[in-house]
Amino acid sequence: MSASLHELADEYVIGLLDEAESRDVERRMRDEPELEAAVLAARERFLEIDLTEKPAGLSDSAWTQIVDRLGESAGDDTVVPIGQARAKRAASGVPAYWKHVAQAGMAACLLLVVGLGWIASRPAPQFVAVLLDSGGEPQAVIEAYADDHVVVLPLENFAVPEGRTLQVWTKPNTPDAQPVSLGLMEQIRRLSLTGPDLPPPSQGQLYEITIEQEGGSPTGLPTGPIVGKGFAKTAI
Amino acid sequence: MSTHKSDGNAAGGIDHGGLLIRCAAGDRTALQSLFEAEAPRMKAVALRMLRREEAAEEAVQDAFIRIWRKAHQYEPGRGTALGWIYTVQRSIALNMLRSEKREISQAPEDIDAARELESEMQSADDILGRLDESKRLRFCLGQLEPARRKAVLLAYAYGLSHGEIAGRLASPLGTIKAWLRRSLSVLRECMQ
Repeated sequence: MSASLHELADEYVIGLLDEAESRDVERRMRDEPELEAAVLAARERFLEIDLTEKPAGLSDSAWTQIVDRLGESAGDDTVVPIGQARAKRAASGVPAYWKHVAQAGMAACLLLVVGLGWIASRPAPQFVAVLLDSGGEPQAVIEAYADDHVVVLPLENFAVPEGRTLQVWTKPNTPDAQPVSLGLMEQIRRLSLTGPDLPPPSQGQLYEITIEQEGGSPTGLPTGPIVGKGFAKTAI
Repeated sequence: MSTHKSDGNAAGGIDHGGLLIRCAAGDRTALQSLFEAEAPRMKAVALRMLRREEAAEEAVQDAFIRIWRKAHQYEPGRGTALGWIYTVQRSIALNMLRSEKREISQAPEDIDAARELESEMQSADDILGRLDESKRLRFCLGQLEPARRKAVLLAYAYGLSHGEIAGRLASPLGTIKAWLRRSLSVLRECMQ
């Protein structure tokens, strides 16, 4: 590895780069494993300086204020399914982290359930949407239940490019509603997703699946190509 | 090598990586555990850089919001979880420091500034003393000539720029840049 790469990493970590230069390093780290490795090594090299700081007192309301602000992001942070996707990624790359994954799984499973047995025992869906691609071919069926969960039944084995993921969305039938993520689907399979609290599904409600970057759409709204979209109809 | 060191033992066996993963899964109790374990020390880091109580408090709150939102980006095996957490805190404090400098550009009413400057210089020396003698960082920083060591610490611990360090150490900017580059390279080799 070149010395200049190390120099850049060191200067970034100790804070000698300006904001624009720092952002540039952060961007490059995603595509340049050597730079990323140099930054991670530099970070660990100096970390002890921070870890040996004597703890300082916080205001009594600090935690409450943080919690209040977490709520602000509730609309665009569909953290639950993304967390599950994240845990899966960790598991595939680093087997030693199964312990973490199990812990994450326990939390995530409260909100996201995957399993045919479970699906089989559910009541009939309130609404069904058939998602069509741009050529009008059915790609998947979404069953929507009253308790905010949906079951995705893929009809086609569409290819998901490496490093990308499928993301399932709906747009509630309320004025000014924006598409809301119901969760990520890393591969084509039947699965059940429980999204955030939403108004009950209704006739004509939009559902769609898009291809997004790993970890889900960065904006919290659909950005990638649409695999299929369709509108909810009452299941008879 | 430091990257092999286990994560979080210093804080009573807390599994920071596991907590981050639970944060990514939307578990607020995990964020709260991180807050209880790390917020006071993170505030000390922010206070060291920003010097003002109120600013440090804000920086810690911002850091926890960012930790919550970005926890899914933490990758086990790519550096320690503590390294990730403190990088978030440092980056927030540094950005606040930079925008403060832009906006206030040396407010004259800050009479304490000179005194703080002295304490900052003194503290840069103290940092070495509190590092673990059995670890490489202390040994390797100790190998540097005092003024050069101070230059490195003023940057890392106080977020000072090349120009500010040159001012503090009353040396030409070019000299400081060369010192820093050389010192960082010495530290890299020494700590391998």
